[in-house]
Amino acid sequence: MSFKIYKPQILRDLFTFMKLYMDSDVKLLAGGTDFMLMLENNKIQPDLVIDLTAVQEMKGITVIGDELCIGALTTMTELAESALVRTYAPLLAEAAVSMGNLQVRNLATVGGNLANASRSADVVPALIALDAVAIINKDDGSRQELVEEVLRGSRKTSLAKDEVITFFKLKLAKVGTGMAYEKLGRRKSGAISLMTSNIVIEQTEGKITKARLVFGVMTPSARRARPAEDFLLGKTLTEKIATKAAEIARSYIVEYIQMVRPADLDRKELGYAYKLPVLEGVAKRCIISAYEKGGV
Amino acid sequence: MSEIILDMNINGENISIQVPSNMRLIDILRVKLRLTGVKEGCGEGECGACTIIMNGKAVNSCLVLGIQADNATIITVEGLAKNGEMDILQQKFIEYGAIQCGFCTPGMLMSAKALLMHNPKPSKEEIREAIAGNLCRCTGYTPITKAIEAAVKV
Amino acid sequence: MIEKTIIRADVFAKATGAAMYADDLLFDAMLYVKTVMSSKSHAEIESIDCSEALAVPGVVAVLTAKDVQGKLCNPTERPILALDTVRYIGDGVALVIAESLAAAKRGMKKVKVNYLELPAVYDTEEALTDGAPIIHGTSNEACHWKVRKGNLAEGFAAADIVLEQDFTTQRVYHGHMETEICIAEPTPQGVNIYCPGKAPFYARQPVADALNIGLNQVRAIQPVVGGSFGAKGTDAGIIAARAAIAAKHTGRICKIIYSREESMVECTKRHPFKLRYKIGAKKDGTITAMEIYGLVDAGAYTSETKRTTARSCVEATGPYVIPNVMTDIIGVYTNTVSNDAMRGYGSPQVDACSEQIMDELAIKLGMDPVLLRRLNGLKEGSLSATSQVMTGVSLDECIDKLVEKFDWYERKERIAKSKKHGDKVRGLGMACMYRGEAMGAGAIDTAGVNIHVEKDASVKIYAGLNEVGQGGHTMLASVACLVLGISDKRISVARVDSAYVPDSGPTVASRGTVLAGNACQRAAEQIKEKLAILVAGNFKVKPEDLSFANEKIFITDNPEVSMSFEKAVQACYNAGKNVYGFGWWCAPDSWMDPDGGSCEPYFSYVYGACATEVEVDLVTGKTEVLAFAAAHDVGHALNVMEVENQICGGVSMGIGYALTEEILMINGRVDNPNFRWYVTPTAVDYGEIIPIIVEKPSKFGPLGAKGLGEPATSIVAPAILNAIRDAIGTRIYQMPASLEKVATAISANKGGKA
Repeated sequence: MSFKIYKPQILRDLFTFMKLYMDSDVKLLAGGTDFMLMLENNKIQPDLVIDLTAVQEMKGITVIGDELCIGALTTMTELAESALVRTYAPLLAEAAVSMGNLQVRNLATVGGNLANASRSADVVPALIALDAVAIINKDDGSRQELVEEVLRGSRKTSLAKDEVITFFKLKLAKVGTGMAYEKLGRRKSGAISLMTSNIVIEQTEGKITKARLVFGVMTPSARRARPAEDFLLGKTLTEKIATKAAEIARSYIVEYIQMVRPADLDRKELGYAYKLPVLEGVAKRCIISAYEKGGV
Repeated sequence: MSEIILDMNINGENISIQVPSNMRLIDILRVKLRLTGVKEGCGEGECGACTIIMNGKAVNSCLVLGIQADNATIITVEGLAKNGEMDILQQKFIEYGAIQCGFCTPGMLMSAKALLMHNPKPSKEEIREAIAGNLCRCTGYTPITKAIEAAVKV
Repeated sequence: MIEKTIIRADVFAKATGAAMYADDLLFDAMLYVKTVMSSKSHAEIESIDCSEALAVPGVVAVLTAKDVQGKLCNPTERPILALDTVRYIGDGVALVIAESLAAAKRGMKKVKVNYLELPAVYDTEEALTDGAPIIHGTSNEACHWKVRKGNLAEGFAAADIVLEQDFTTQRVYHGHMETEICIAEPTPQGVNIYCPGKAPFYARQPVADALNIGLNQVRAIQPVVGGSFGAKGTDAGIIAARAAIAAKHTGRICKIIYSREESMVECTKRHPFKLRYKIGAKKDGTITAMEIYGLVDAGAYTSETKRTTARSCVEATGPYVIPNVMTDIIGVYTNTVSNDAMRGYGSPQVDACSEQIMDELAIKLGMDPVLLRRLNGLKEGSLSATSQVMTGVSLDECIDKLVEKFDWYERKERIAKSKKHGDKVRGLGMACMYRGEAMGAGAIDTAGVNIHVEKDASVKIYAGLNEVGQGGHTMLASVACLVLGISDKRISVARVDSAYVPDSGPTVASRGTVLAGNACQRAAEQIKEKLAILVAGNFKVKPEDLSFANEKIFITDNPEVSMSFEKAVQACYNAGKNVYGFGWWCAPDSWMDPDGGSCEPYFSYVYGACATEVEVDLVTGKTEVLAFAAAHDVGHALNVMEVENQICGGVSMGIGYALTEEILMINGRVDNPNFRWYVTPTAVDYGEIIPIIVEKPSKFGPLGAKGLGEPATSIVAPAILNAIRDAIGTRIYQMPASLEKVATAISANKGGKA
């Protein structure tokens, strides 16, 4: 079924339009890689589609002060190739390049990745590990929210109907910060993520001053494994400590699922029996790798 | 039926075309413009047979809604040959036996072309990565990689 | 013996996007047809209500089995449309014909089928138990093939070591890039079908049956074909019949095109096997006995199950001399998607298991796996499992070349020194094969080829052998070039059109080169003879004194005396003679004994040997193929580059079979009907492939050539599985070696070899 299309050039027009059509079934189109699948499978039947691709204000990667600002329409390829991202948030560049295949990365956007809130979203866990903040705008205001808090479960976000994610902010990595990423998939390209490991570790004189451990796909929305992060604080990393932190991370994931969706642990298609021990092994090597990278 | 008018530059030619609002770019190219070199293998962005170059980037035309291609510059396999002479990639694909059933070939060529447009001297790994979104069941990718390497050397 | 490589004629259009595949053909006022598929595994159709579908704007007609005038299918075969019973989720139930694809899709969803559900069975063992739901006739046994040789009890008694192991192989999908499609055009006499496939002449039969017309009224015209690998055979026939029914009913051109999902749900797959192997050997490695029992999942219909099962029964021991053999392989119906030919049909499944049990035997005996295979391998004059005297055996040549080109022993030493790399371990594996050429026992395997040399000395080859991507047409051109001593520039090969070309049989069983190649050679030789007689008369010599090469016909002992090919052709025409040839080749007899006694199931066999180095991540279970070498005896490489590329493609498909590819079925429903969850290898997923050509000329093939398409993929999986065993110390018995299975095997072996 066909629909009306609106293609705004500036944010102001976008918001005006969204307000005007508050009562219609409006769908925003960014990269379109998920949108098109839903459209073809009749999972969405919008009255109006707003194509965001011409909105320049939602594009670009810049450094402002001690923050990296990333437009919501930035594609995965742009993230992966950006010298700024590679320097100040290499984790995000690695996560971006691991997504889908090149043709998909050339279309898919970072904002779309969050707004879709898919369990297997590729860059969202990296954004969480980087303490990224989403800037969310609407006609008469804007708000900021940690990416972790925007997510409210699989395919659920805090976004209201008239709100749009316009860009992301994250602090530039300090000296002594190391990051490590690993994706578990059935092949090297174009694979659906079975799990992703997103690790950020800051250290001063060998002692861990900040740790972020986020494991994608393992929970309906990605969450920081805080107990494992807390465990690492103040410690000088050894293999034993990395092993222990990985164990804690695994226990945390299990406890979290038991809390939110206990039946999931036994659902064969979610593969926890296989993934949990793997998470432990992958977490361990990523923690070591991040620590080593930050130590130089 | 809601229709939209799109302006595009396709294979060097400026066109303006009216299409239904929900039409995918692949259908605009194949059905409306009869550029049937663009192949549909899965319709889900997984196989790469429909790869075209849009604004300098390789994309799956099955995942692009018509409106997204408004004002875009598009190259399809039909636009590779210049003045009747095949692009070096096409020549090398032929020379190295990189074409068997040929269904993946147009998409492969476009992925390779997009690579060379912004990286004229790619490494073997970069070549493989550039075509990793294009599935081929005939060749095992070996002759395709070799053909692209040979085109780079010219 | 290696000839220069000629460039395929079909690639120019394919490289520019000009090649016309079926979906690229444009017809006026075409209708679109969608198939309503069964949503039940096993059910009686109580009623079908088409009224809502007919009310959808754009829908022209809805047809069911009752609207089919002629025959729906042979007993136990898949019907064009199910009449009263559906036997798997995917069985065609109705056709919705509409002015647009979108309208056909909408109509498809509105067809209401009332089913009376019947108990279903999804597992071959369960299907053979008493009280299991019966799918056809009185038993779920589709066929049972046997091989008997020597005395099994004595063989095992003489053994110092006996190993027994169960294996399973999974259901996989061809993954041809172009999905199934057919356009049917009604004609006053019958129907024209544009239906890409491996067997255009065969596809006419269900069309003729369904419409109650003669084969001569069904014209099969082949567009360019986007891959087959065994697909687009049975399925193409059914889809062609559906399109033809729709075309005849509406009097308009009708097109059916399958989405990827429809292709994966309805169309045939590779048979999954359950196999039990028992092998006995002496301490020195000499095998004394082998007992093999296997169940083959036919799916809901017979399709290619009989031939697949027969082949697997013949080849189940692997290429070894085994004095005492008992093999039983049974085809079994289940309520799952029907299985048919896929690149090797029967070979890859048994090869995966026989080569693993050989590997395990080598480990248990502490023997080099290469040595064990050499020791027991078939030699010239050996008796096969079916007691056939083997001739033209080239197993040793394949092993020799493989060991040399892959640096087997150097690699082994290197890995022994540094096995572990961080969390990753490396391992080496190998596998050997023999495989019966062409269709084998029970088939009348023939091919015809016409060659017309035109008055300007250009040459046109007319053959029913289809170009599905494998290079079959170039092979024909190569044979004609070599026989007539002319440049390939003179030659063009007509596209397959049943109105003009002779039937060369299907493009299956790696038979194209041998069958159609031989027919082509014969046709070319007739032309050669006609030209030789004429030229010999001119030169006052005997025809046998002449040679054909470099576009010339010359006296062999006095090459200065020559006439150009072109002149000779013109002279022939001027003398009122034709320069045509018609070649027909019938494969030598082959047969199988239903009781398992000695027989010659194939007239010829090919041999091969593969080796690989893999790296396994001990944390994730991820296996990466670092390098893969494949040596195949092709008899005579008619086109070196194409042979090498064919090997590379076969290896790639085999890597997918070994590691990631699997059609997952949940209660008879395909759970992963897309390329997102059905995981084939991409360009970054494996390292170097090393193709190795072995040439031991065949006494049967054209100019000594042998078939290659299927051998190229047959033993890839066992080589990889053996390498994984070498790396982690545990074996994966159930294919594929997925992340989960390898990780489980690693954890079962914690503290072990790895």
